[in-house]
Amino acid sequence: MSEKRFDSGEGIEEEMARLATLTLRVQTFLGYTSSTYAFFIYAMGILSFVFMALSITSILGVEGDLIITISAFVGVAVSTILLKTVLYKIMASARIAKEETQVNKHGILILTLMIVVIAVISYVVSTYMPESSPVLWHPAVALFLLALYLMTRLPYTKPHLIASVIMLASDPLVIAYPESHLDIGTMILAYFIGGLYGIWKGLEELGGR
Amino acid sequence: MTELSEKARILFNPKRFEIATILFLRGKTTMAVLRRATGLSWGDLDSNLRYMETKGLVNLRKTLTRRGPRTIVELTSKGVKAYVELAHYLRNIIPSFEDKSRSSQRM
Repeated sequence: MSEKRFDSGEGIEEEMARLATLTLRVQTFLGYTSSTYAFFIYAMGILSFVFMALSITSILGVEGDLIITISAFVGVAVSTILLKTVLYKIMASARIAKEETQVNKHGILILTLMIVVIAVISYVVSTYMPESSPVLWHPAVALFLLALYLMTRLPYTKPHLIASVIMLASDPLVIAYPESHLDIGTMILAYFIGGLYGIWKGLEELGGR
Repeated sequence: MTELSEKARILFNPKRFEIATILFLRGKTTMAVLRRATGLSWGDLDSNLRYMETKGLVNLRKTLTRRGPRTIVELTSKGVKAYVELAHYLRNIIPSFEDKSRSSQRM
């Protein structure tokens, strides 16, 4: 967009306006792409560590619930470090999203509400269905994803909303059948669908509406 | 139409807008990359960046790399906000250009 590429007077303003529109679209595309990468990296990180733990417990012939839980947390930690150090450095949009992202005025209220809901669910489940306590992380993650969307209301946090709705919808089954590993399965499915939605919406943004 | 802030008005200049667009999309960038991307002369690029730096819109940092010293340029938080404000303002004025072009075709 150096001077040679411009006409004069209003032509310059129009060219700038068109470049601005394209830039905003590219930024939204990059935002959606970042969300998709985040979902896929988390899903792969958690799955790989959980399956490794399952294999190890099976080879050693030991009970492995604790090992599997610890592995899932290690998967989350490794994925977070990977996202922070690699993805955020590669994708400038992630940094910009961080600077642009402002928690809305209802942020504290939303977060408090979610914490209260999680506390109530935890109390009810641990009192009446103690065998389901190990899967309580599932509704907590779903509500956290929902809170993230409600607090930012950015177009590219919509994949988080989609994933949280899928996880919340599956929660009754997850809590009813805690031994079935539905918790991991539905979370990965939710991340997969959230990621696909991110790709689709991102490409749609580049294609224009 | 809303009024632009002082910072956004500073970017309402073809050369500075182009520099800011590249920084907005790429993040941290060296001056050499900016020069290649914009086609501006070193003097022009340097004077615009210094002006943006005095207004708090960009950070300029000299660093030593394996290929020698480089100047790294980055939009500040204020710069990002000003750019987003201006970009939304510009996007909203596009329909007025299209109206003008339609009315001139009718004549």
